[in-house]
Amino acid sequence: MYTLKKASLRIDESYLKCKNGCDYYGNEEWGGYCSKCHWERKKEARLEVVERGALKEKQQQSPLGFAKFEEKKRYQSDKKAKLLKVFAKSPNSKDRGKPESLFGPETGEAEAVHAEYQELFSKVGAKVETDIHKCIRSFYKKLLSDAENPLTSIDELSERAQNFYQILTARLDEENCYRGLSSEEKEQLIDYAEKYAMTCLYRILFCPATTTDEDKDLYIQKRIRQLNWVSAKHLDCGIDETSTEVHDLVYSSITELLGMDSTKAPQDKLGCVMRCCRKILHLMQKCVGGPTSADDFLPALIFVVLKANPARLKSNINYVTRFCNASKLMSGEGGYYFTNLCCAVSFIENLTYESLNMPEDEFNQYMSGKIIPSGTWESALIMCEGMHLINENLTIFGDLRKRHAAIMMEIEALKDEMIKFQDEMLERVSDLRENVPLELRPIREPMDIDAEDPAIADLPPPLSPQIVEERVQQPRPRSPRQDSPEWQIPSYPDEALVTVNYDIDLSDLSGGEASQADDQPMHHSLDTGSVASLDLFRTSPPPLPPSNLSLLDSNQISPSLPSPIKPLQSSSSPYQGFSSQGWQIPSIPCDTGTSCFEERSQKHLHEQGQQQLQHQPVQQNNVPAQDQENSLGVKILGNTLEALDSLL
Amino acid sequence: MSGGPYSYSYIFKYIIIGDMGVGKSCLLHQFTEKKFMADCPHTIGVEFGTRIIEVSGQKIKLQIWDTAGQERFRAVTRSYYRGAAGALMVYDITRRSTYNHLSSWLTDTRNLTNPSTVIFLIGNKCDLDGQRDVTYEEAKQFAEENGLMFVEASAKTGERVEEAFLETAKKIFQSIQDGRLDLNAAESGVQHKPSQTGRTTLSNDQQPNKDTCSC
Repeated sequence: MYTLKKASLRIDESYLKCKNGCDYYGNEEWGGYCSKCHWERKKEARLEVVERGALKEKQQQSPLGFAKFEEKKRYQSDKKAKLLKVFAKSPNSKDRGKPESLFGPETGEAEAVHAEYQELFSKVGAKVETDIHKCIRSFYKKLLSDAENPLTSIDELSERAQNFYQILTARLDEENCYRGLSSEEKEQLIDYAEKYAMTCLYRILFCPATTTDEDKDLYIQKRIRQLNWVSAKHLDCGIDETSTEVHDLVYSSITELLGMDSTKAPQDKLGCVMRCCRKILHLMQKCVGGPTSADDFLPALIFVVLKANPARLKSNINYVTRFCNASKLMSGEGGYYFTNLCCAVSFIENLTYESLNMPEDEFNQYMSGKIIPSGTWESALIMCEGMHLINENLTIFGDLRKRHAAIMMEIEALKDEMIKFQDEMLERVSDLRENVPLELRPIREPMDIDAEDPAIADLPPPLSPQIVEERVQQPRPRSPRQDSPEWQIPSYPDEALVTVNYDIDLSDLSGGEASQADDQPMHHSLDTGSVASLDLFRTSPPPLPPSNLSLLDSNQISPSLPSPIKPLQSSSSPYQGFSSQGWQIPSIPCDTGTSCFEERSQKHLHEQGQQQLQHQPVQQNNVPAQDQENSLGVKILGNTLEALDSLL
Repeated sequence: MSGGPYSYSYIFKYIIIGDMGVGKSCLLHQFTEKKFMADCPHTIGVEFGTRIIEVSGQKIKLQIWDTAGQERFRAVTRSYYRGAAGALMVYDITRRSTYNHLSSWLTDTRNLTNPSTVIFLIGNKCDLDGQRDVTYEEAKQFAEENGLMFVEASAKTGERVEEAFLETAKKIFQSIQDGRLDLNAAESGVQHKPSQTGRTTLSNDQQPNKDTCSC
């Protein structure tokens, strides 16, 4: 089946005949001539080259002569070194310095190669190094002299190089000085010899004038240019030409392939091919979405070669084929990929409309440039680069928009949640507001009351004149505090405290500490129970305030207010009269007032000015209660926020 | 381990040939990784596989080259054959056309390899017996007529995959011992690496580990 197809390759009979028209069949490898004509032509060409070479040599005489002189000098110094060695082992460094300068123009690169393998030589020792350099040197000289003879074909040189590798391999296994080296080290030494020698001989062995390599280079270059319209689709390879990621990978593999021409040693060129192919594998994995097989790989490699159009492709391939260690080329990963590259190049060379599965005339039109298929790689690259960018950016924007919308939705949700949370919190706070003050009062008041209980026992006597109070009020206007306590004390000890406070102020004369300490209970009452007491104020003594106001502004306010210092001044004299009572009471707060709140008392001093407003105390009393509620609310809010945070 | 890659005394080069889609890569992957390729999508490139096996107490490194099976590449993929010690010719038992192409594959192989190259015929996808398009007997007869070794295998289940690779290696090793295969010939596809004393013991420890860890 296949053979039938192969036979159907439409090649004109005349194309197959020898170009000389001698009725024999020609061969492409022989430039379209039959074997007889080819050899004749080759002979002629060689003679021509000889003439040309003679001219060239004349031009290059000075550097060549110098190189020869160098060689001679090296040889002599080498001899000397050997002699020296007989007597004393020459130092390592001296030996090392020698071989690099042996090969005239390539000295720098050879040195670089040597430096690359420095580690190896430090491991294997000076003896091995000397010996391997000896081998390289003899090979170099031999090949150089062979190459100078224009009648030596490149194939003979190649054979000589391959022989050198084989002999060296054998030598490494047999020679005494290599005994004890691992096979890995031996392999490295062979690599080194190959690399070193080939770097030095590169200018002679790469694309030599005796071959048609250069013509082939130009031919394949032109051919690839003609085939620039071939797309991944034509080759049935899965490369997605529109994806940026794929583009980048194709580019990097192309770069690796192009790098092949800039290296000198065959194994370095092989390395470039290997890296290129590994990238293609990676690329194909991206495109195919799974592991790739050779069925996918080869078309992709052809595509990359077509798009890369590497410089001096044929020369490079021939050079590697001829001078790379054959054992390496025929096995191993590098060899495998190189074989693939050869296949790709050979496919490109022999590419017909059939291999691209397209009609003949269409193929011809493409080849002649009459029509250009749309969507080629180049058009994608050059003409539509902007569009590509726009498309890429649009997709990025689309993605961003989506993400933005998602974020906005989340924000909305969070907002709702927060509002809900706020409502809930407000509800809870209002609940607390209802509950907490009721709870708090009984908690703290008893403390005050309990503390003052013993004192209260003493109080009744001064309170007894309840009935009298109404009358007394007028004659004794400056002591409204006493008046109010007269009702309140039995039921609300707070008021008793207020009076106490007042008395303490009197006692300021005796001790400042006492007055400060007294402020505290005062605060307690304000904080906790004052609302109730104020209520009482509002309810029961409404008739009183006017009278109080009219009679004594300052005194009237002072009872409910924390610091009665001001009244102290105004009523300093009458208090002395009450001192008997006052002295009894102060002792109570002294017991209770355990801590000093100087700051607070000072604050109260400041507030004195504001005390003139009667309603202020009411507000003041209310505020702390609310504060407490609020603080409680805030605390809960805080806790819940923390909980929310942790949830988020 | 520095001695790792050298813990073998021979390198055999194999090529896997056959039409596109017969499962060449999968067979290779199954042999080198002991996994079906579709089950591990992270595997990058399987065209080039190696595995060290043991034949008659000798460690042999198999280097297996996968090839493109498309008809249009047939003419240019000939360089693959150069220096192959073994050729695994694969067809798909569920697709008759892949079997029909065997003769042209065989012609190529015979023409492009040396006479000592061992050719092994593998009928892949034998797990899909229900869709069978080529009978075992038919293929067996073809193999006998052409002096090929033959087995039906499944890259998916791993059934008889090892057998195919190992039998080929045994046959090659046999021809080395018989002297039919010249180790020094450049295109023999076999490289001899005299293993070093002291290293072999190391590799002996290494090998069983390698076998047990792969799944």
